[in-house]
Formats: sequence, structure tokens, C-alpha cells
Amino acid sequence: MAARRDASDRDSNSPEQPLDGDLLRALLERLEDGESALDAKSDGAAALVLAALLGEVDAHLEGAESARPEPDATARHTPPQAWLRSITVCGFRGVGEACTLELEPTAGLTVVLGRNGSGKSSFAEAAELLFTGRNSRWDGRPKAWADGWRNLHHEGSRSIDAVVRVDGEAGATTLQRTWDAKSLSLDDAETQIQRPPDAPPLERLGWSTAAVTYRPFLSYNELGSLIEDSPSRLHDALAGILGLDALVTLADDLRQRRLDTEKPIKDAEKTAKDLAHRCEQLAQPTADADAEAAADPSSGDPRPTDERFAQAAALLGVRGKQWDLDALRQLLADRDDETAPPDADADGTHDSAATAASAPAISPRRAAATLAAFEPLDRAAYTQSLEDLRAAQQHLHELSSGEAGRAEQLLRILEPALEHVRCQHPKHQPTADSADLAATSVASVATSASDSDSTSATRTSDASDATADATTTTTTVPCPVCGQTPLDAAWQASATEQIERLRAQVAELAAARDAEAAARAALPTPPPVEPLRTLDAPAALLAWSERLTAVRSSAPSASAGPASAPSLSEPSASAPATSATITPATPTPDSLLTSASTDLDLLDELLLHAGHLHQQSESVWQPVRRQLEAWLPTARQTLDARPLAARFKEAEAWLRDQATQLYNERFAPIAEAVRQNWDELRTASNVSLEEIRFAGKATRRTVELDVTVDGLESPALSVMSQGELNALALSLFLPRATLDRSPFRFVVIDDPVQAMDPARVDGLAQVLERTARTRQVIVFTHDDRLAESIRRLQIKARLLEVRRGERSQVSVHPRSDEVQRAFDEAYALIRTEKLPPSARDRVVPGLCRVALEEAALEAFRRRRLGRGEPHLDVQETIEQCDKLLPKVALALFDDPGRAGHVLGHLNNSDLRHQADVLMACNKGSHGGLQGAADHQFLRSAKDLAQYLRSRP
Amino acid sequence: MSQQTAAPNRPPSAELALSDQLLEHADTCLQLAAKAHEPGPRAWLRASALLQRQALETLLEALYAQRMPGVEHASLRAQLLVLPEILRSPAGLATRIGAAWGRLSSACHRGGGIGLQGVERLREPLGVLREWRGHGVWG
Repeated sequence: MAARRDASDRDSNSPEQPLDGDLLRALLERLEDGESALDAKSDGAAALVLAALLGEVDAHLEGAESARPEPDATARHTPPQAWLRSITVCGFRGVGEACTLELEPTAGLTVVLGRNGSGKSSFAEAAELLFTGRNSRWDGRPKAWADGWRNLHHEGSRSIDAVVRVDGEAGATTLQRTWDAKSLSLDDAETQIQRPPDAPPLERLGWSTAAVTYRPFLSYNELGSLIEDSPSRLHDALAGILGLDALVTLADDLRQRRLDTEKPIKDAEKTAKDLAHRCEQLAQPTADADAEAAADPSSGDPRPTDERFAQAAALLGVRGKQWDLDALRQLLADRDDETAPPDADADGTHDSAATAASAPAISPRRAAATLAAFEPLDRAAYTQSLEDLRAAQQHLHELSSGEAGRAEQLLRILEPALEHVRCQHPKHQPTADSADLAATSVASVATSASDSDSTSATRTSDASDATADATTTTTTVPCPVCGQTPLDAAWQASATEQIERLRAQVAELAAARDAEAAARAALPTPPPVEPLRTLDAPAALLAWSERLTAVRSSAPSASAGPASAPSLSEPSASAPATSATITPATPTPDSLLTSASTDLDLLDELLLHAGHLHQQSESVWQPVRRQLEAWLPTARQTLDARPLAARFKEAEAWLRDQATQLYNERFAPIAEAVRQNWDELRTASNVSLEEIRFAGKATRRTVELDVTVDGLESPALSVMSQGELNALALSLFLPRATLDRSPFRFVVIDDPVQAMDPARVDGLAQVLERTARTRQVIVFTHDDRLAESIRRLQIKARLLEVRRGERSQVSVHPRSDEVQRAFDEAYALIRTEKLPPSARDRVVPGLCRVALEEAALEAFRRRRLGRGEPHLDVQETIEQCDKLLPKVALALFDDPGRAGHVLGHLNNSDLRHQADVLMACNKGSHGGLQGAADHQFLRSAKDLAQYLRSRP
Repeated sequence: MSQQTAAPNRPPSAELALSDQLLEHADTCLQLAAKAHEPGPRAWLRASALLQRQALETLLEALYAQRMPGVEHASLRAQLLVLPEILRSPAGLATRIGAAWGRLSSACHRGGGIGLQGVERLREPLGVLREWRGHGVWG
């Protein structure tokens, strides 16, 4: 009886449990709905699927029955949400002394700016390494790249750590990797995890799996390669977010089990096919086939047709029939010297009518085998046995025709008579046994040549006892023949005495009969006639066989001499014949002796022929038989395994079908998010993303991206620019990183702006803003355009700047807008003593000029883009202005051609002093400043900048 | 051997002294940028670029005042276009001065992407200007 695995025995967190609760529950429901249909395809497939879903396939195959888990066991588990509080890097990549990037552990957008080589990406890489154990920027790079993780300006131990806030936990969680000063390998690190007191262990949060599945780390390098590499990689990267990898793994496992199961089946089937083909070839002997099969195809008589090959071919399922392994085993076990099975026709079917009508009783091959097993007769022994028989028969004849014969006849009269008298005694109630014994006592003595001496003696003794009992009878009975002579006690005594005497004489005759029977039995058994006929033995040999058989089986009559001729005879009392028959002349030993030499010559010749035929036949059959015998056990296992393979196949197909359905169901909302991202990022692109779906299987799996270009269908990747591809990749993978199922509420994006045109940067800023409403979005970029877009679009964001100084001293600073920043720098240069006043007065106007230009362009961009003017057009207008006044004219008049009106406008607007500062900046940046670039100068410049940037 | 097209009208000692001072300050700013000294590398880089550009313009003014009076009042673009006619040796120096001006001008403006400019990228024009300053054209 199958052991039942109780659901309560199963730990839902057990490693053997392959599916998460959500997925398991969905699949169990689907299995319940489709169970009968599945079993209809292959009985037991539904149970196999259940076992697979529960990770119990091995137990299922051993006979255990899986139990459906209770609904509570598969309840949805919502992971606690994790937010990044800080990332600290020390001696790692571009960062020397320890530097911490402080973050707000809540939803919002943080942009970390820094020029190339500033060390900003070191924070992103450290975070990725801490959470995933790898870094996508280094994957596939030369070893030297990965080996460069050690900052050369730092000595001593190195470390990276991330502080994480987990919702519902009072304290923070810290992930840390440390390397000692001598560590050269990135992997040679010690990992430490510090959790708040009373918090569950980190393993319960599922971060290690989620970090791979949802990958909250997106880098420009990885995004580009994911979408441009093989279609299967894109498929896998997206499929992972659906949480269906485990389901695919299950299907793969069943597929592998099916292949493992089918392998020996296919091997056995191929072997069977080869063997069947071979047997069909050998069923009809040909010189080529025999020469190939037989190690020593000796010349001479052709090999007889071997019906076993045709039978074997039929049993091997040739012509679409099923294997009949029992019959095949019987065929292989058949011995030619045992009872032969009915011969089959060439096609392996039995035709009893045809066999009875015309076909020989046995095949030539079997006849040869039978005769090959026949031992040749020793000539001297054969002759001696015949002479012994002749002597025994002579002696028996002499005794039978003499006193002993007569005594035997008399005894046959007296014994019944005495029994008759004894039976007349009124008190005598002869038992059936005693009557029978008396009646057969003579026959027993006379014919018990085949009985043992002891048995014969016992019976004789019993008869004597009966006779002795009769001697005490006093009853007088008349003679049953004449009816007058009284058979009284005296007669009985006399008869008893006579019987005793006669029995002694008859015993000699019985011994002679035994001797004659023994001599006949000592004759050799002739070969059976049927094989002889099949092999077309000479008539003389057939006659000899029949004569020898007759001599062996026929005892001579009591009266006939040892060489009696055929005669009409009455059945003899001593002969086994029971009725009157016409018997042919019984062959005699003499007649056999006369032709012995000739007979045995013929026999030897035929046996030699038969032996040769047999050898021919077996030399071909035996190798095939051995192959078949070796194949049989495998074939037996194969028959048992076929249903299992079918179950595996149906179970796998069911799982894959569910996977496809679930893929599409789960991906639908993600695809919608992707399209929404793309619609924002595709600004000014004529490529529209219509549909995204998973397609293909195994090595041909892919993600199909249906796009239209100006409304016309087109292959996605080939029509997209690099910037569009990056935007598409970000569209695809941002939803992956921000799924509700992910425990990570943060997403770290490194260098997303590369290759994006200005319009798309605006789209990116909007996508990031929308994502940051519910997620902590941390963007690292060297490109000021994102910060500029964020300011212009008035997107709420925290801007930080990473600066790298001498010996990899990295620091993080709040980043103000470009106008403020230029003024900040100017103020700083005024304050610093490192810059002499003569140099300061030549530098500060230049920095103020940068601030004024930026303020003017900010107003111009906001105005033009706010009207819906293409970003490229706006940028082109700006780039045509390489001087300060035309740029200010853009802000004041929306027209660079009105640069000559700028000063007049400012003077008329009661901004005369600001007008002087503007001219000073315009000229001063080239060294023409009159007076000092002091705080008053800066305040006037800032006032002017504020006026310009606030222009509507 | 250098091939000057005209004899100097007067020695440009004041302009040369100023340009030397500006180049020295520009070099200092680059060193401060490398150390990320407050207010940060970008401010020092931009200061260095501004100073280098002024040094370049000062040298141009001095050269034309000495060799081709009047041209120093033309636009900077025109002065750079004429420069190869005056400064024929060593070969390519005039071209490198033109490239240095382009790089410095870009670095001085917001749109030039100062974030992309590193210390090394600004050392190159500084080296060109010092080579020019050390040239025999100044007499």
C-alpha cells in the first residue's frame, strides 16, 4: 500500500519545497480543475504533477502518495520593505579613506552627481556587491579589471557596508564586507550582517533570492547588454521577475527524468529493431547473411531454414506488433532434445491446418538438431545386445515349451479351483483383496518380470497364506468341471501341495521371462523415425529403425520360437496382447544381426549429415540467441518504464503550459508599466512600443517587442538608436526592480543618461519622479543634464555631488543648482587666500558670467519647452549663442538678435547697477574688470541672475 | 630656426609679465583642483581655464601689437586665423594654440561641460601656452 505523505509533515519552508506560496496555490487550483483531463492523457500524470509541485517526485516514484497542503500553508507572504540608509566605502575602487553616502531611507529621488573618476560609481558598485555578491560592471571583463577593486591610495583593511532600514524593525540592518590589508582577491572577504535585536534572521527576508530576481541595481552597461545580447538572456532577465523560474525548473526536472527514463527505452527499442531486422534477414538463409553471422561458415550443405528467426522477429514487434517477451523467452529456452513446440510459419503465425496437411511434423532444422543429439551406436555393443536377446529368447522358449510351461498351465487350473473350493466355505467371506490376489497369483508369478523380487515374493506369500487358510476347510465341493468328484479336504490338501511344487517350476520360467525383457530393454533406442523421414533418410534406415523399435517393444509369445514367422495367433495368456489380432511378423534379433553392419553404416552417415546441418544452424542462431537473452532483461524493464515516461511527458507538458499562461497573466501589468515608461522616455521618438510578450522555448526563448515606426510595424532593435535602446532597457527593467513582490523599496541606477538626447533626459526625469513616489530611487550620473532637467521641471529631488581629491579622498556634498553653484564657487574664491587678488579679479567675473548665462538659459528653456517646442530646436537656438548678451536677450526678449537692447532694458528697469555688472562680467571674464570683484559685485550679479531666471 | 614675418615694434614686457603671472595662477588652480580643495575641483578647474584663456588673449594682444599692429583689435577668431602667418615655427604651434583656446573657451562656459574637464585636460593648453611663452618670437 502506498505510503501517504501527510501535509502536516511538510515544512513550507523546507528546501525541498520548490515553489513559493503564491505560485503553489495558483498551480494547485489549476491542477484541481484539470486533473481529470490530465489523467485522461496519461493515467497517474496528475498525481505526478502534484508530487512535482510539492517537491516529492522521488517519494512518489517509490510509491508514496502526496497530500494536498492546506490552503493556510500556501498563504501569501509579504516581505518587509527595505530602504537604504547609507553606503560607506573604504579603500574600495575609487574611494580611499572611508566615505559615507548618506541617504534618506524613504520614497524619493536622490541624484548623485560627480565627474568621471570622482568615485561616485564606487558607491553603486559597493551596494550591488553587498546585496548580490557580484557586480555587473565587472562581469565578463578581463581579470585585471576585477583585480582593480583595491584603491591604491589606501593602506590597511578595506570595507564596504550598507545600512538598511527595514519596515517594522526598530534598529537598522548593516551588511558589511571587509578585507584585510593583504587581501588581493575580491572574494577573499569577510561578510558580516548585523540585525537589530529581536529581528528575525536575514534569511527569512528572502533578500538573496530577491536581489537576483528583482535586481534593484541597474547600470548603463548591464541595461545595454541585456537588451542587445542574446534573446534568451533578455527572456531570462525578465522571466525571473515573474517568479516562475521555479516552475520552469520543475518542468526541466521532469523533462530530464523523462529523458533518463526514455534513454534505456529507446536503446532497447533500437536494439530490438536491429535484432528483428537481423532475424528477418536470417530467417531465410543466404550465403551472405550466413557468412556474416557464422564465425565459421563451412562449405557443404546449406543451412536449413531456421524457423526460430522468423518467430523471434515476430515476437520482437516487427511490423508494428508489440513485443511478446514471455513467448520470446520461451523460444530462447526451447531445447531441441525436449518436446518441440509447434513449428511456426515464416511469418511467425501458426497454421495448424497447413501443418497437418502437408508440412512435415518437424522442421529440417529441428530434425537435424534431434539427430545431432543422437549418440552413434557402438557396433560391438549393438551386436552383443542382439545376441543377448536372442539367447534370452531361446532360453525362454525352451522353458515355455517344456515342463515349466506345462506346470504353468496346470497351475492356472489348480489355483482357481482351490480358490473356488475355499470360496464355497460358508464362513469364508473372501475380501476383494484376497480374491484378486488368488486370481492373479499365477499371473503375478508368471509375468512379474518387471516387478521387483520383493514385491513378487510378498504377493506369493500372501497367496500361500490364503491357500493355507483353505486347508482348514472341511467343506466338500463338487468338481466344477465334472460336477461329481468331490473336492474335499483331501483334495484340497493334495492340490495345495501340488501348487507348491508347480510354483517352484514356474519360477524358473518367470526368471527366463525377466531375462528376456531385460535383454530387450538393453537394446539401443533407435533414432526417432520422424526426424529421419524429414531428413530423407534411406528406406532401409527407416525400416531398420522400425524393426529395432518393434524388437524392443514386442515380447515373444509363449509358444513362438525366437524366430517365428508372422502368424495368426490367439492371444496368449502369457503375452501382453488382450485381444485376437493379426500381428505382422515380429522382427527378430537374428534379422537385425544379419543387417547390422549395413544398418549402422546408414545410421552413421545420416547422423554425420544431421550433425553438420545442426552445426550450420547453431553457428548462426546461437550468437543471435545470446544477444536476445542479453536484451530480454532490459526489454522487460523497458515495458515497465514506458507508462512512467508517458506520465513524465504529460506532467511536463502541463507544467510548461501553466508556465506560459502564468507568464502572460503576470507580465500583463508589468508590460503596461513598461509601455508607460517608454511613452515618457520616447519623447521625440517615432518608435512606439505596442506589445511585449514571452515567446519560444528552450534555446529559442525570447521576448518579442512589437514596435511601430510612424505607425508601421517594424522589428524593434534594428530601428532603434543607442539612446532609444537604453531608454527601452530602462523601461523594461525599472518595473522589474520595483515590483511589489520585491522586498527592496530602493533602486540604484548608475549612469542612465548616457547616449540619451536632451529630450529623453526630460522623459527620464519624469519616469524617475513617478517611480520615486513609492520607491527610494538613487541615480548616479556624471551628466549634469539630468540635474538640469530636474530643476527645470521642478521635480522634487535631493542632489548630491561626489568629489574626489588628492589620494582618492572622496567627499559627498549637497549639490545646488548651476546658478547658485557658480556663485558659491565665486564666493569661495573670494574668501580663499590661496588665490591672489589679481587672479581673483580675473576669475570671479568669469564665474559670474557662467551664472548669468545659466540663469538666462533656464528662463528661455522653461518658456520654450513649456510651449511644447521640441527640445532639439530649443537646444539648437541656445548653441547658436556663444556670447553673454545674446543669451541674456533670450531670457529677456526670447530673441538672441536683440542683444543690443539688453542694456537699455536693464537701465529702463531700474537695474542700472546690474547692467554695469553684466558688462563687467562680459568684459571681465576676458580680463577687463575695472575695480575689485568683491562681495558687492557678487550681490549685484546674483540680483541680476535672479531677475533673468524669473523672466516668464 | 624661427621665421618671423615682421620685426617687433616694442618689447611686450608688460603683457608678457602679466601672462606669466596668469599662467602661474592657472597652474596653482590646477594643483588645487587635483587636491579637491574647497570649493571643489570644478571651481578651480574653471578658474584655471579662465586664467589660461586670459593669458592666451594677453599673449595674442602682445604678439600682434609687436608684430602686426592693429590686428589686436580684431575679433579673437580673426586673430587666431592670422596666427599661423606670424608664428610659422615650430610647425603646428599656432594650430595647437587655436585648439587650446577652443578647449579653454568651452571650459569657461556652462554649456562646455566643465564636468567633463579634468586636470589633465587643462594641463594640455597650459603646456601649449608655456611653450609659446618660451618661444623666441618675443625677442
